[in-house]
Amino acid sequence: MSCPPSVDARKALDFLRTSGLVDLSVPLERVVGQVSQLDDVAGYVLAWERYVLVVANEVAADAATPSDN
Amino acid sequence: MRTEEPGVRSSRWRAVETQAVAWLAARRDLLDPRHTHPDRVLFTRKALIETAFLVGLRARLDDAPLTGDYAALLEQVEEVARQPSYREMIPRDEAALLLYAGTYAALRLCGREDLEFRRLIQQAVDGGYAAAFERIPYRQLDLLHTLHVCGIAHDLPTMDEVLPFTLLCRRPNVLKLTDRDVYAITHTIFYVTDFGRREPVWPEGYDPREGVELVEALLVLAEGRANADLTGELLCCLYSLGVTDACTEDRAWAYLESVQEDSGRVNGPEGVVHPGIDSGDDHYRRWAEAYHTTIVAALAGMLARSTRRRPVTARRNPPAALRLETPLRSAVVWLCEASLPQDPRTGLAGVAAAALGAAAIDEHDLVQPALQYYAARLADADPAFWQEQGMEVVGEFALALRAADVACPSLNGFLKAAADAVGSLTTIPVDIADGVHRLHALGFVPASTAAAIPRQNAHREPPHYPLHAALALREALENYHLGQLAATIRTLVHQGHGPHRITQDAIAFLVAQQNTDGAFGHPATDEPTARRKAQYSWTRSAVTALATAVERRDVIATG
Repeated sequence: MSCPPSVDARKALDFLRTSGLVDLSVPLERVVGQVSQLDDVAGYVLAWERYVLVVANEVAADAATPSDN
Repeated sequence: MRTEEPGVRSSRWRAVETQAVAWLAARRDLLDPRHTHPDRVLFTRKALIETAFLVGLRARLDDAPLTGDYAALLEQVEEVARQPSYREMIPRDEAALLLYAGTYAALRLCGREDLEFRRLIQQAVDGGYAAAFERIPYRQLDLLHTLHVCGIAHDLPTMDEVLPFTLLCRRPNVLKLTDRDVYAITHTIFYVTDFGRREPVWPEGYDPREGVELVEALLVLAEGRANADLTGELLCCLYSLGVTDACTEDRAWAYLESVQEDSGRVNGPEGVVHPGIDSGDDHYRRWAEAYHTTIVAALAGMLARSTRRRPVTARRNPPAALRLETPLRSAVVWLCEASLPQDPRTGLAGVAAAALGAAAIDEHDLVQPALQYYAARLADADPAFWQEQGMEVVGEFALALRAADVACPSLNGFLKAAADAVGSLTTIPVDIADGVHRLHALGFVPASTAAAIPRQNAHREPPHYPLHAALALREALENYHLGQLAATIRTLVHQGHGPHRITQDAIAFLVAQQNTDGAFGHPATDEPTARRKAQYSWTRSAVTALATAVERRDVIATG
């Protein structure tokens, strides 16, 4: 069984393991929350799949209460 | 590498199709809009035409008569379609023509011609709205394809005329695409190829093999996100494009097989169903969440065994890689200048990154003034300073000083002490291999010490693109985390994945974040100190990644 490294050797191991060329910290608060969401801004839905799902309740409600015309 | 005979694989895929269709057929009563909750009527009609399309395609792709579960599904479709409450929606709900016309198409393809149903569709198409209102391009292709399989005459622009306007043909960045974008791509491919039965006239300058490359890249991302629905659709796209790359095909199938339940059900992605649509009905919810993905799995099986697909398209060579020298050079110049006023604790990493970048483009002189300035500032630095910086930064800095013939006494003393500490170890951990090799390159440890550590084989190309890395890239783009993006690019390039479409698109995105002064990143803040800090961090990270990419010549255009 090998002996644990001395304090100096342990510091050297820490030093040799440390990488830092790429900065993985986040240097700025996220701003993506401010980025516009197309659907929210445009106020309408582009995709047919969404059409079916989102308006289903409205259309069904209309069908359930026929107009007097 | 294939581990099974082709016949075994195809029989397993056939089993996926058979079980999927059995599951759908056992729940065919849920396809009847007359018997569903009012809130679910439109959803049910959508499921009905998608099921009808599956049955219609089965009739087109396989000469064998419809029997068993396929026949049961056809009976259900026909039963619904013959009702006035269904077919008379065509003149009443013209905006949703596609919700109804597909059902007729399936009946027609299965030999169940219905002339009155056909007349209603033709009348709608000849009118001034149903086929006339503006649709986004892939939905226009949906209309044209539906009319084609319905055999309905029209005077609309052709599919090949619409094709240039689609996302598919604009060489999108795969990492930016939303699920909705990917569905636009898959459906474009389904329609313009008529599920593999038609050769489109591709727009001038468009190489259809680009589409294959795009689909394969999207498959990696879909599987990484555990999205069986997109995995199935993208697999169908490969078949529709006439591509049967064994590796990609096997991987997609292995995933689909792994997620298919014993009942044949293949669950859809989370959130696929509107939260209010199930009304607490678990049986309905489980069907609603899975019916589309299960149809897609069956379709993939059908296309895999189809003998009517087009001949296989040759795969294209790896794409022309990006030219990175010019952006790298201007970033190095910016980084050197920006490093001078920095506190050395943050500035040294920037200088080291700049030195790495300058070395990659063989322009060492670019960093000479910054190196001399930092060497003088740090001539008497405390060992704790170097310790804190870590070997990657310190090593690059030291190598650059060595190449520039610039001395830094405190650094030499620290590295010698570190080398002595390494020499005192009885065994050297593998995770410090890079650091020890750097010490050796600097002449601080003998070759025998470095040789005792096995080098990681950085040039062996792994068989598959790592899913976690693909997701990390996507997440980094979403969060505008350029440091994470750069780190992942660097790792992927080291692993031999530099030429892959996903890595190339990540690099393209990174390069697009460069400003005209050479700095990377758009902080979207007006505060000068925060702007400077963010750009210094991002530029240092970007330079490190781009330098790695340039050093690996496989990502540089040779022309």
